[in-house]
Amino acid sequence: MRIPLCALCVLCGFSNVLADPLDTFGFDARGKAMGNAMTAGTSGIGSAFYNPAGAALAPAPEIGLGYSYAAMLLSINDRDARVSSSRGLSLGAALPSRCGSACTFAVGLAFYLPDQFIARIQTIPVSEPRFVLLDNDVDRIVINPTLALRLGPIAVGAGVTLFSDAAGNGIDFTVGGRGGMQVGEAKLDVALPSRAAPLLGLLWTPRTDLRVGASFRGQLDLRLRLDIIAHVDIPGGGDTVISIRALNFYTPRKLSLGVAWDPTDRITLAADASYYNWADFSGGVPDLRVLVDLQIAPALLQGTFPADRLHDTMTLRAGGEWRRALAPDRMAALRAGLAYEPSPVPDQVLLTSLADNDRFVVSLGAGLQLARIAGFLDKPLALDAALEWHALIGRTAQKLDPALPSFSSAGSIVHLALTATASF
Amino acid sequence: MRRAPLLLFMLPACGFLGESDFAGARQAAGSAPWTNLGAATLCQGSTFFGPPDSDPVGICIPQSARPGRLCLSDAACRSRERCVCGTCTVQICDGPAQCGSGNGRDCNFRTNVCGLPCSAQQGCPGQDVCDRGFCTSACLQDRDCQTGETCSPTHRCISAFCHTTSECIGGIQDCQIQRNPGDLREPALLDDPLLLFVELRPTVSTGQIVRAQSGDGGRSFSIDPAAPVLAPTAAERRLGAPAVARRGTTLLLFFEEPDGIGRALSSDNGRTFQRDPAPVVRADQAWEAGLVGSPGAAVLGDQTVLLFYEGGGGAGIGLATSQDGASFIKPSARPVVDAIAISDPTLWRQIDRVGQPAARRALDPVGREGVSLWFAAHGVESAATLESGMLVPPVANNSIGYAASLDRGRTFAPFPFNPVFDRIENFRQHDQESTPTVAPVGDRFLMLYGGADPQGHATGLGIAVNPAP
Repeated sequence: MRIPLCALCVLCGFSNVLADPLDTFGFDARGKAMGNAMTAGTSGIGSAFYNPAGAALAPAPEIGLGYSYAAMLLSINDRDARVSSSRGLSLGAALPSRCGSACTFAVGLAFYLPDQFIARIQTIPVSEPRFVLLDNDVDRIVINPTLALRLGPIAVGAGVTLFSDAAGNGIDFTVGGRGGMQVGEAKLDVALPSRAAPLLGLLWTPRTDLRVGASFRGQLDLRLRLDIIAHVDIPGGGDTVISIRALNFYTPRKLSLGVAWDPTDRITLAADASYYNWADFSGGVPDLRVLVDLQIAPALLQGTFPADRLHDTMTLRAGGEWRRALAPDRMAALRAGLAYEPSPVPDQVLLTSLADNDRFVVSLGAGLQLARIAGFLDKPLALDAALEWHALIGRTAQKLDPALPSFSSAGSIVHLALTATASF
Repeated sequence: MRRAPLLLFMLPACGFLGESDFAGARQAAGSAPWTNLGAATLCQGSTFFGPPDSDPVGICIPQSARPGRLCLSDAACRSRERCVCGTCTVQICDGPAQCGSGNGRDCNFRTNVCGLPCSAQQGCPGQDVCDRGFCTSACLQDRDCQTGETCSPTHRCISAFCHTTSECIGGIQDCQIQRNPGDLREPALLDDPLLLFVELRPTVSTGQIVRAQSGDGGRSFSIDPAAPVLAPTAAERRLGAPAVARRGTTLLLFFEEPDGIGRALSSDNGRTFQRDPAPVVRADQAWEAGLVGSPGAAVLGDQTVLLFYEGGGGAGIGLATSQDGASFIKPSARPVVDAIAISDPTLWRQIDRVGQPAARRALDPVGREGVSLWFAAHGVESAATLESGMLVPPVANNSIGYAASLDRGRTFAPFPFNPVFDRIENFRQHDQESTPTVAPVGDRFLMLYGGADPQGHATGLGIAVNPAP
């Protein structure tokens, strides 16, 4: 193998993608309808996402299956940004087991599977505007297995959120002539090693009508490390190495604090504050290096890009639920929620054009809990529906350099979710 | 009621219907990056123009062949045909850039026609078969083939490239010329509707301005009317380098004439022009060195006309303004863009000529009025290379740059990664691009440019788009 004579770093910027689909829309229909203010209010299938400790508060084993769809009505420069709809299947489980009079051990799972993609990475030039959080990030798989333990009024939980890298020795191919024969060989070695970030949760129930919760999620991302090596085995040929290093689906550290209060038997009110550590993110622009040995020697060309400069954000959420018994074996619930989600993306005055907006989220929902369905299911079944409306506050990025295109971004998102939860 | 839970659990399966691989709109600003689409097609009747130093070329057609069907785009034609100047036929080519971009076609250098490449893995559409790397169809007679093809003795539809009828089968076929040489210079686009004004040089030192319109969003243009819309008088040899702008209901056409930059007005969308008796801009500044030309015009919201021009044979780009569109003043004795302003120590170096401006009024999302300026400059983008142990310097070439102004064209900020359009032949050699003109077409910007090879031989007009298709 020849040694490349020099390296050419190609100035080629792409904006990539950030965050987690469940951060954007929540997990189960009940949580979504309550504005995702569920750090303290969760106690069932959503707990592996909202607060791992919540699984230990589930009154019985629960398994839930849901489906959600989001219409992304987003625009850039008053034109449809054609952001693909986000839709997928969610599967949640909370399986508690008594370990004493005041002790419960539980296993939880939150699983989200987009139905178009396991994960999608799209790249466009970094100077072209795109919705950096709402474009690709809502299209990735999420797997959160958790464990929980309740001892009296305190419940703790821990788990991991799983993802993978895209790495390996890359693609290696040889073309040319050898010993009078035409040769074409290719080797492929691409791996998807798993990555994990910790999930921690705490729930304190000082009174039967009050719960206080805290949860923490570590940072996670997909690191793309791919090398493509081409050997041109002919006189005058040479080697080319294309090396791509990129960070995608960056999911920041999150610390949430919440409280849930039941002022009456029929009403639950909840509020959350979540802190997202976006400022630690760097690497919004992938690094693409091309090493060339074609028996010529182009000089080194180094591209430089401004730092991402994302800033930390604090999201506030509130929600409520009103329940009413329709019959001895039927209960209905109405839910509503409100959230304010500030954007971590700074004003785009330099080269990059990352579009993102502060959002108000208004949510509504309803649920029906059946003690049994005669002849079909002899266990309780809950059917929940939720509607979220995300209103993006219009934003204009005015570049300092008039030669760089300024842009505006606005729009809304309509998200629908259905969840069926069976208890055993 | 019993089935409702079952239906609910089956509902998620509906989502697995899939979605196209790529979503997301690319946002065009007309700055960068530009994607080359290959040669622009300018038709004169049933033929189109090729490079000025090329030969007339065509295809052998059976004398009994029926004419191809009329068309507006390739979609109206059969699998191997393209819509060539309003008629479906196989298209001749002698370079890959002539078969368009993004349509899957490539030049078949064995037959010199644009064809659909095929292989064992990549089949052909419909009943077509793969024959030596390109799609064709089996036939028993000529009428089984598509327009421009004949049935070969091996029962395959083939095309025969020709320059004259003597190269075709005598008494049976004629050479139907598709492409004639044409010396086209300095195109000028106007949008809404999309029109092209371009200098056509019938001989080396003469020039006239023709008008063309497009029915396919700028992929091809047809000269209309057939006669030049502006031709030199008996005392002149050349009028050229048109620039056009719409001011109210009037089209303003600026052009090079012997004593400076002239002006003509049209009230019928450019079909006829009334020419002013004297130039509106003359070379009267020291930096212009007696030469002004290659105008580019933009009309601001208050109807002020900004006329940019090349001065001093590539010394820079100057500005003349007019409140009434008729009398022009030069607000500065210096160029608004020159080589120093656009040079970059890494990306664009040793610039020794800058000019050929094209300008458009632009509004940014906050409503600020600006001016976008595209221009050509001659400089170096690559580094010296080591070839067979010898250091070979890079070759200077013409490329397209971009700058923008927020003060009505008085000062410009260059794009930080100029040039915005530069075709690279290899690490050292670059094809050349000059005389840009830009217009919005749908949700993209279309650029027409004058192309040349690294040695400077003109290759005709080319098309590029921003953003990429």
